[in-house]
Amino acid sequence: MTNQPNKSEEILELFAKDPDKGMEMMFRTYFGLVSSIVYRVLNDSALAEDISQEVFLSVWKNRETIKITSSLKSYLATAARNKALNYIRDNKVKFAGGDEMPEVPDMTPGVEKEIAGKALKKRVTQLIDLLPERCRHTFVLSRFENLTYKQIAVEMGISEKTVENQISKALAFLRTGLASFLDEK
Amino acid sequence: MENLNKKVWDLSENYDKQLNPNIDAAWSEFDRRRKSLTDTKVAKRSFLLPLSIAAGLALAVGFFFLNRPTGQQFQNLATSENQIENISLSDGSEMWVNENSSISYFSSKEDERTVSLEGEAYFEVAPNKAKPFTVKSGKVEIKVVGTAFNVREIKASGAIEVEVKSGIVEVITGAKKVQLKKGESVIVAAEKLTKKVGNNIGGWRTKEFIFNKQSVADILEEIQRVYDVKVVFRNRDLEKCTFTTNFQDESIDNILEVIATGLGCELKKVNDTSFVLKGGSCS
Repeated sequence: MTNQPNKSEEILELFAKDPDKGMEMMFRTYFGLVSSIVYRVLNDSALAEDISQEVFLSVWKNRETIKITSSLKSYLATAARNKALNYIRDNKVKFAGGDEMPEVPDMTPGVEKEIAGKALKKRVTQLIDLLPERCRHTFVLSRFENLTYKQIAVEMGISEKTVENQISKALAFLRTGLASFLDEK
Repeated sequence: MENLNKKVWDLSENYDKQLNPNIDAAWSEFDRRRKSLTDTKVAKRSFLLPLSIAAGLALAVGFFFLNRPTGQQFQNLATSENQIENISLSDGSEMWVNENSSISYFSSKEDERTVSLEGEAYFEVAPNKAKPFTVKSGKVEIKVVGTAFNVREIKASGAIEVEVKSGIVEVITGAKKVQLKKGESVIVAAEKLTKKVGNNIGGWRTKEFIFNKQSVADILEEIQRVYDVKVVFRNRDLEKCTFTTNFQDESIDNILEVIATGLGCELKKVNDTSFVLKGGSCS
């Protein structure tokens, strides 16, 4: 499934003419993208699929009034991020776990044999996934969703100072865990 | 230090979080959910909204999908923390809505017996064989003709739990369904139905609990949920102990005192909502 630059427009055109067909094309083209964004934020694949369904359901429910002024792709990416944020906001209880940082795990043996890039990917993913939930949310929203500290603070109902602390904690944890990759340079 | 942080920040680019969902399955699921919606009829507008507002609006409008012809009293009730509401419907059914939940229903239309729920509620449904009473909660539909049952959305997992106090209840999700009798319960997660034996159904409403040889972990899970407290074990082995006891609308201090005494633990109250159990053993 390639995303030619005009794919987005093509889908929107079809959507305007034939909502049923347009919806299916939109869904098949972007469900993977939307669910990956939600998954990256929430780190729960079943939840990510469910919330992604809701993203597209919102589009469908509002098909008569919806006006997409940017590209469809970035519209859906923003909607995905917002739905994930809403979920965090509405489920504070679920994410209220401790902030205690885990111990940095040893590298899996045999990792040197893998291609360097692959090993790095694996290690980074392992480390980020290990962060305490609140710390992970903060880091991911800042790093990958490009939210400002202020936006994160508002969305998560914490102070900007806390956001800052969580990011430094995450960075410190990653720094320790990635030591062998940092040394090489 | 700053330089190192920058390097780490750059390296974290490698966070590999891709989901490769089965698109065909996801599309059928979408198609099914889409068809179960009642279409919202919103007047066509022609002006352009800034994207962020449009996106926000799109999400907000979604919550009003239960749009029906006028002339019926459509009600929506949301409870806050520590608030339990009792609602009597015109068909004679009653609902108790637990804290942090919301429910939508028709208050005056006797033949409209469908409510939609987010959170937890206990239902006592007036019998009417001709017109089943339906509760919708997430992807789950619960159909009954006259019975008492509890529906709960388990926040941590998003699963829906249905427990039957009396009568027969039909629980439907996707293409699957199961019938439950008195004392049975089911957990619906990811369209899988797992049947189990239920007890203390709607205990949050009456604070009456009967525990018969249940694990301390299960007992405490329920007590913590209903009383909104946190109980920490120093000795994790105790979670597997079983315990038989019952409580009739007692205070949390009394309940924990009974459990602590039974297990030979020392009970320490940290504050009004958190407790620690130290020592003890299964006896």
